[in-house]
Amino acid sequence: MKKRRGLFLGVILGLALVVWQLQTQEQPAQLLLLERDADTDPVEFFLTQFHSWVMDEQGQLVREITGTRLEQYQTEGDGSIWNPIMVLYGEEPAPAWTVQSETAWVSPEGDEILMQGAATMRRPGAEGFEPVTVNSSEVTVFPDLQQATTRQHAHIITPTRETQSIGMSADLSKDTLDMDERARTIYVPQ
Amino acid sequence: QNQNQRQLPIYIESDSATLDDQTGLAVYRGNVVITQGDTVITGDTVKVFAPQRQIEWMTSEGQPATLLTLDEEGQETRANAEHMEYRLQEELAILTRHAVVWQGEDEIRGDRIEYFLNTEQMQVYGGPTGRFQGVFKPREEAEAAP
Repeated sequence: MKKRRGLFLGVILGLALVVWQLQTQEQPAQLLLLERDADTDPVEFFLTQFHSWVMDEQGQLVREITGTRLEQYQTEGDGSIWNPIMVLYGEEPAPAWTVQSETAWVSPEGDEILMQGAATMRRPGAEGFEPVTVNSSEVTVFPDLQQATTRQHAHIITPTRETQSIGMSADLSKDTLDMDERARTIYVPQ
Repeated sequence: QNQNQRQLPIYIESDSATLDDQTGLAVYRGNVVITQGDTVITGDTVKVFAPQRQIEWMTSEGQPATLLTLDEEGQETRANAEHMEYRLQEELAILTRHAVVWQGEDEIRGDRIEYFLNTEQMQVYGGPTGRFQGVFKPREEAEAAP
């Protein structure tokens, strides 16, 4: 009986050693290797309170993403983000768009980001650009294309115009907006 | 249409729409209804041009496009045409292609009818016969008519 308990303790000690090594050697402090239930899609790694900057080939900053937690999954390489805030930089002088939602799903290549739950898109005003706020939900953003689309209700507010519809597609670089169904617009004289 | 009508918000309903903020052009498609105070314009396709975020003009195309407005005494003016242009600052509606205007019992047809909503004046150009056509019912007959 004594021999078996020793064996069990040994295994536990050995495991602890491996985990401790992994922690200190490769991953920074907040990067923890977490083994999940084999039946679901195991997490490869997760980050907490993260901030990522993405550059284009010329080293220009094209987007930033922050969130309270990010998980990347082993099987597909897709990911989830909690409390995501994404900033999309367009061409000067257009102000950047900020998109945030409750959670987000990130495709394996990172070229499609589904902003889940209630989602808000905001762009401040600038010379030649009206400030815009878009309130919607389940908005899919294609950051490289600077496009966003949803099939849900969308409410777009500017100082001179308010528009609602069911379903919307926005080209953030060209400043165009397609309202799919039941478009309602109010122009407010200044 | 009195002075403060022009300060009222403009409501536009349609099946779908495309808004281009850089050009200021918005295109509304399908069962389009535009309302500003007592004026209602309908059409199949409506283009709204608001370059400095303020609407300058709009066009409505339909089979037909329609316009309905009330004057200060509440008298109705209705118009049909396949193409209408409405210039907000001048409160001018330009009707072309099968243009017809009705005011009470009176009916006016022409190739091109320019109707000033604020002064209720009308300029009519040609008609199917190349001439202006108008039917004006004498007031007694108009009032006696059932």
